[in-house]
Amino acid sequence: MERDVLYIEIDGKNYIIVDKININKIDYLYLSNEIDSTDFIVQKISRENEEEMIVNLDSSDEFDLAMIEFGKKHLNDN
Amino acid sequence: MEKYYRENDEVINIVNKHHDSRYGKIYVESRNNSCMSRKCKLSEVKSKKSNVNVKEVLAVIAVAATVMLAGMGIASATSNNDNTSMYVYDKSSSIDVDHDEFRFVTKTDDNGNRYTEIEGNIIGSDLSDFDIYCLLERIGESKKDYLASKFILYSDSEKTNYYQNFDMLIKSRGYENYDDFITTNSSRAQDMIKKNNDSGVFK
Repeated sequence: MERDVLYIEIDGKNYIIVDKININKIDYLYLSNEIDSTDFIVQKISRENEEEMIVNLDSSDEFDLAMIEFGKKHLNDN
Repeated sequence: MEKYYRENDEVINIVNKHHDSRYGKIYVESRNNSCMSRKCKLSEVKSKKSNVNVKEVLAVIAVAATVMLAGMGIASATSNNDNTSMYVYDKSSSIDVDHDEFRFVTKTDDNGNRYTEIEGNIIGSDLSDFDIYCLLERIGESKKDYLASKFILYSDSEKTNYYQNFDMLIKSRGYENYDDFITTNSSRAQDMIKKNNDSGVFK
């Protein structure tokens, strides 16, 4: 069944925004490749020159933190 | 878990080999990849109709996350053919009392109620009343932090005097009894009963 989703094109691939989690006052976006759910990206929203940008995480530690919060939120979904 | 850091394109590819292959890959973009160099704007996000099952995607990522975190020692992932059980150890939810570690694990029961399980043994170690008091303080904080409905604390000791102290201290904290803290309705508790069938702790 088709549903409305939000997506952004990266490298010619469409990544669906499947979740947004605020961690330490930063919004993290969890993006999943529309045709390959094992290919997902964690990005964050950063304000640069008064424009909100989707930027990469600064470190693997930040990625770990984002995944911990994601896990805490979703592990018991099913 | 293995991590591969490819310096050229700075993509971190995390591969877990011991889990179901469909959950086996996680990609995380790092600096200087195409998205970063192109400076994606939030305003570039668009809406469309899609057949993507977001709930299923979330589950895939959650499983992948758990596998990854398990490799880091801050989560546990167990699975068999029909059932997968996973939960995250929050680093901040672990305390050390007199060199004994107590881990606070938030779970969801069959009815969807969230609760915090405290992993650790209050008895069988050399915890003093003060140690147990500190543990109770932390339990109180955890109850507030995690909105837990109940706590489960396992014990495998035969030293019931400490258990009685624990009961007293729990009451001093305003709890009526330790029913909220100890349960026998779990396979793990049953296992402990088998191992400690003379302790009487779970009777």
